[in-house]
Amino acid sequence: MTGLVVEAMAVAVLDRPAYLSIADFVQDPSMMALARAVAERNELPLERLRFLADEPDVDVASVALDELGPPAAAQPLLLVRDGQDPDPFVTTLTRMLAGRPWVTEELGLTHLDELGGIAVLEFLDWFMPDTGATVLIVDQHPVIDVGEVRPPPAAVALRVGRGAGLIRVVSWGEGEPPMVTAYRFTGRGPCDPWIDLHTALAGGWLAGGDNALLHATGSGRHGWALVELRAW
Amino acid sequence: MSGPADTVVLVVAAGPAGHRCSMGENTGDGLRVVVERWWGAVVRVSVSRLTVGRRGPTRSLDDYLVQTTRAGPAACPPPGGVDVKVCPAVDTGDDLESLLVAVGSQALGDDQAGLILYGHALLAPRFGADPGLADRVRHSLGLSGVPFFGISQVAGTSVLRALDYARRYLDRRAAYDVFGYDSVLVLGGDQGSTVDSARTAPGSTFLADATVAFLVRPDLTGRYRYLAGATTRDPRFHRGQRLAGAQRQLFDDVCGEQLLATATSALRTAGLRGTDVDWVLPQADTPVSWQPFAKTLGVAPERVCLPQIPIGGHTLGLDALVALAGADRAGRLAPGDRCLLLAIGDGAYFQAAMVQVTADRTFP
Repeated sequence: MTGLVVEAMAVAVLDRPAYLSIADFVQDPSMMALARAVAERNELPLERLRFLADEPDVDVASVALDELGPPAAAQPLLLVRDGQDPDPFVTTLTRMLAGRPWVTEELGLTHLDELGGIAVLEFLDWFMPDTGATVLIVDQHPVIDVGEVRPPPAAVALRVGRGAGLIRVVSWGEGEPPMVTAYRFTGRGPCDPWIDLHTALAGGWLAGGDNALLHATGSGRHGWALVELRAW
Repeated sequence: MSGPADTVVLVVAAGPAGHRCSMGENTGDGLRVVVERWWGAVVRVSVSRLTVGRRGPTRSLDDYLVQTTRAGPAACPPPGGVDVKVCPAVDTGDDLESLLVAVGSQALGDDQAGLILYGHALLAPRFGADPGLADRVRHSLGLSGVPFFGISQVAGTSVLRALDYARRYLDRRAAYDVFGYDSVLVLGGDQGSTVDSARTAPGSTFLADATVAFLVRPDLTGRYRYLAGATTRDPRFHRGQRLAGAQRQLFDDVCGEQLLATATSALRTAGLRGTDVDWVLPQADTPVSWQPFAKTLGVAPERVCLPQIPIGGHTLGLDALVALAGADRAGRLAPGDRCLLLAIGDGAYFQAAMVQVTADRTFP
């Protein structure tokens, strides 16, 4: 196995996400119950909680997926996201299938925390069929304390295959990254290293043959992926 | 974990290589997509020590239920006059994480695993677990550094999906002749009690806290052979718990039909017919009439292990496995018996798994 390549990449960041307060849910007993549970668990007054609005048209994952476009061949779709959906009572990933007949099978990967954007490579290595796969890495906080500052919702869409591609995945792993000569992109969110790489590519700061080390870290954990940029 | 854990040694076997791995068959209405998998050469894998962790069956359900006058959502029927006590878990001191570690340890025994897959049905797992769950669980299991993936977004089918993915993992590694590959530890389960409103499926059942674990091995030392699996989905019902009115009715109407198609697909893949099925192990909370289902499939109605809600409630994605474990403990399964496990998830997703009981060489 291995030989993974990233054939295409798209990034979406929701600059002005809409958050709702508890007052918006008074007619929704399910969300009210959920909000109470969150408040109790986090020992916060209910009034301080804000909830990311469930807006299918501007869902950051869907925006990134649209930006990426459809693949040449039908393939699986993986959603890498920790935490709940903005509306945990609907199945968001299934909703995203509308207008995307190329999705052969879909699933969500969870509990990867800040390493999600790296760890998914391990999953793809044995899971991905020959037709490749599309991966959505999402970093968003559906419930926030009104007093805290959170990064805006972000998503990275990757079209992954084997063989030829813009970005060749050389190696990856958990733990401290290896000492290598490479441009280093470090972030605390699962999308961060990919977004920085995307920015560098879009800015023309990297050239074919360059190596880049994607490094995710948080809570004392590390994940890394060494990639090589192909000439384009 | 309070109460005795149901410990049953399972073996599941069979598997693929030479992949005919085709999925996606548009059935004409543009909405329903059938996903099937066939596998060419057989790679032998087994699943052993299916361990189910939940409260023991000795307590009365009344211990866990309190009367309520709270009205259900307008679109749903009243919740049957019952609600669940507000508690972090069914039994004080229990939580999802400890339950996962408890069953995982039993399933693992002295073995090692090269991959951990954790299937969970609820879309809000974090309300039952703090960040870092994967690290803590695998550390507690002595599996630090082993890849851990939560499998979700397919609701109640996630655990049987994880079983299928475990087989895929072992098959791929065998196909590529990777030296020294290990078994896959499959964990499953949800903590339904964390959010009280999620404890009730209005008008039908209540949700139990439960976990399950089993080891999928690249050999045949377990209790069951895995003959085939099948997945179907119907995205018309992506609103899940928010389905209302006509949509909900339509889902109820087509649920049995969809599940039947999924089961038939699994049987066809295994080269079997309905008359070859000895036991049907269904999900507890489904709008399926099991007698007509069994009759259409060609199975005697008494061969359907009816939902065990009176014993333990609806365990989301674990019902079929809990029923299998229960049937095994009760001595109802004999070597050679073919068991059809069924699961349904919001979205909607349907999963069937066909397993065959073997002569268990490790079962005490």
